Amino acid sequence: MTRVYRQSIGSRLFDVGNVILIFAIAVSALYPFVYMAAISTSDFFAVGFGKVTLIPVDFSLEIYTYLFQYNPFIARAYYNSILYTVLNTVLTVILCGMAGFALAQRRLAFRGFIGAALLVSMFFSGGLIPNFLWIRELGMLNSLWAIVLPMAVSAYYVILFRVYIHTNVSEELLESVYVDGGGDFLVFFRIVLPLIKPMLATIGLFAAVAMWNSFFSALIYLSDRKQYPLTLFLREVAVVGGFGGSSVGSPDAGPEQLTAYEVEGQYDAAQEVWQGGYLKATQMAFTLITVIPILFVYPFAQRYFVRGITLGSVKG
Amino acid sequence: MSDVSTAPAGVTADTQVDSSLRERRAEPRTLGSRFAGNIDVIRRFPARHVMIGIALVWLVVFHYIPIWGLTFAFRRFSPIEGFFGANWVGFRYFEDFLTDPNTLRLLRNTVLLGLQQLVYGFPAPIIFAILLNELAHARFRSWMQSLTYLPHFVSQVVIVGLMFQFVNFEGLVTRIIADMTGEAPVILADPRAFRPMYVISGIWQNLGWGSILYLAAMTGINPELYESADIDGAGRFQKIWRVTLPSILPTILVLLILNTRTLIDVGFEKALLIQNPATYETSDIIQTYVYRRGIQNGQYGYATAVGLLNSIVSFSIVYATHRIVRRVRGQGLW
Repeated sequence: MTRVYRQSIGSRLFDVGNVILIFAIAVSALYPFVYMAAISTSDFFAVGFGKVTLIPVDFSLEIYTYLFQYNPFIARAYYNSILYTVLNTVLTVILCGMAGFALAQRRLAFRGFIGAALLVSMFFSGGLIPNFLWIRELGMLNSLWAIVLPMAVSAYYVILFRVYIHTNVSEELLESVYVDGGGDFLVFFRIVLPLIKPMLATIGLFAAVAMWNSFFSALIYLSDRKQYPLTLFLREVAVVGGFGGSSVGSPDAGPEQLTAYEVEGQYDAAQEVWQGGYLKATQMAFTLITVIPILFVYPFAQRYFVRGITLGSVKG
Repeated sequence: MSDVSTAPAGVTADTQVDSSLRERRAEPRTLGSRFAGNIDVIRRFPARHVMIGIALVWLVVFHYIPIWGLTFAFRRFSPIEGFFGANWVGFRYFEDFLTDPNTLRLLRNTVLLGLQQLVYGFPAPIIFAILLNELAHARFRSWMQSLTYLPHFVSQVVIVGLMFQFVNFEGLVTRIIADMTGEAPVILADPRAFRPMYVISGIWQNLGWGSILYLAAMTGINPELYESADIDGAGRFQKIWRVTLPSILPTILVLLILNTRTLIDVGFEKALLIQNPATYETSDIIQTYVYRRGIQNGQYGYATAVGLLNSIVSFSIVYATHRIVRRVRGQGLW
């Protein structure tokens, strides 16, 4: 569809300005990611002197070796984040998918009651302190279950599954399987799951991104640093560390590194610049390793997200 | 169909249905018989009830039982009695809160933050969607959309950490202000900077993503409307004002109503990340206060009471807007 404008000068000027403005907005959305990549792959001196803005200066991947060398917890945190995300996503998709499938069936007992239970849970919740005390009562403090289990069933996802199954899986097909003697579980796992792959992808991605990004439940439920997800360490390094910068232990620069930068006679000042660059590079490298999975998944996942939000707004 | 073929001659399918309906009416469906019918359905299809049952048990365990925990607002928590104890203390914690010197500041901070977020954050995606819609080049437009969605998928921790890079003592924003005024500001410790940081980072993060629903509504606009506007000699802005905007007005209204609760229900995780004791004067909102008093200081009853008040007010706002909308539009939110 092309709209036919009688192009006045004002209208053309508007077009030009509009393109420039939107391009600038897109650049501003992207720039911080380029910035952190540039900082974390530059020499510490270049960073410390504030020379790095867009592309790496004196390219070096030194910070990544420091990062994994001085922080034994980082590899572990990566493992934790992946574990929590996978467990939570699988649980969410299976539990909400099954519930949505059951709700999409014509013959279901106590449908009104079930619907009410789902709806009410969307509007009322215990809130921070009651949730915390209950999780503690269950003995789940300092366990990964406190992170993975509570959010696994969401009424919103159940309803999305129900609507999708209702409109995309034909009842005749299912009837024929039932006639052949199949039960609900067989039907769900063998027939329905392959038919609702787009919805599985949408909700799986929503759950995965939310879990990967979350830090608050880990903050209140976990106290053992071995169990921290990436985001919680990132909070220490880039957010809390951003105030004072003392939470990251930094090594001293060796003499050969300092003389390489020709700052003879100003050893302390050079050391300070080096340390400043080291801290900044640490923060940006850490941020980058936290967002990299998202940056990789994003281009492929985007259309599913958009489908999810538009579907939810129409039918939810 | 097989019923029809076995029916005696002269009896059509219609009359059969009629008679079966009459039979059903003759026997009133009492609560008991309905219950029995439900049990019968469960007996015939047990598996699907197991499926929905797991989800319901999950909701009870992780959602409904914690709601009972709201009673901590009226009782003293004791580690021995645990979650279901009964040291009722009445409205003491509410009285404490209402006489707490922090209360006025908390309310002011919460409402002001929510208000600024709504006033600046809500129109931004609408304007962005309209500007995107005015782009003639479809390919360019979809690229720009995709790029601006990206920040939405990034953790709040990342957003705040990045923002600090630009406003810390040697950050870009700090240096620009220093060049202009001659003295370097300490932005992170400045109470005046908290709300702008919160609101601007929110706009940055949600500008693209927030525009999706408006853009979806715009694709539904009948192109003939624009054509007839052209014929009537409408200019660019008149078309935006008289065709585009009215067409997305329903979407705007619904989202506005859904957003009114943020007046008091501010996304507090980001506030928690940005704030520090030096900025409590503006940055301490009800929920961060609940976190501090409850989780950090262990004053569970008091914190629950404050959280409960917050929820009640937030739900009342949603309900009130629902009623207003129903009166104006004839159809509410749910």
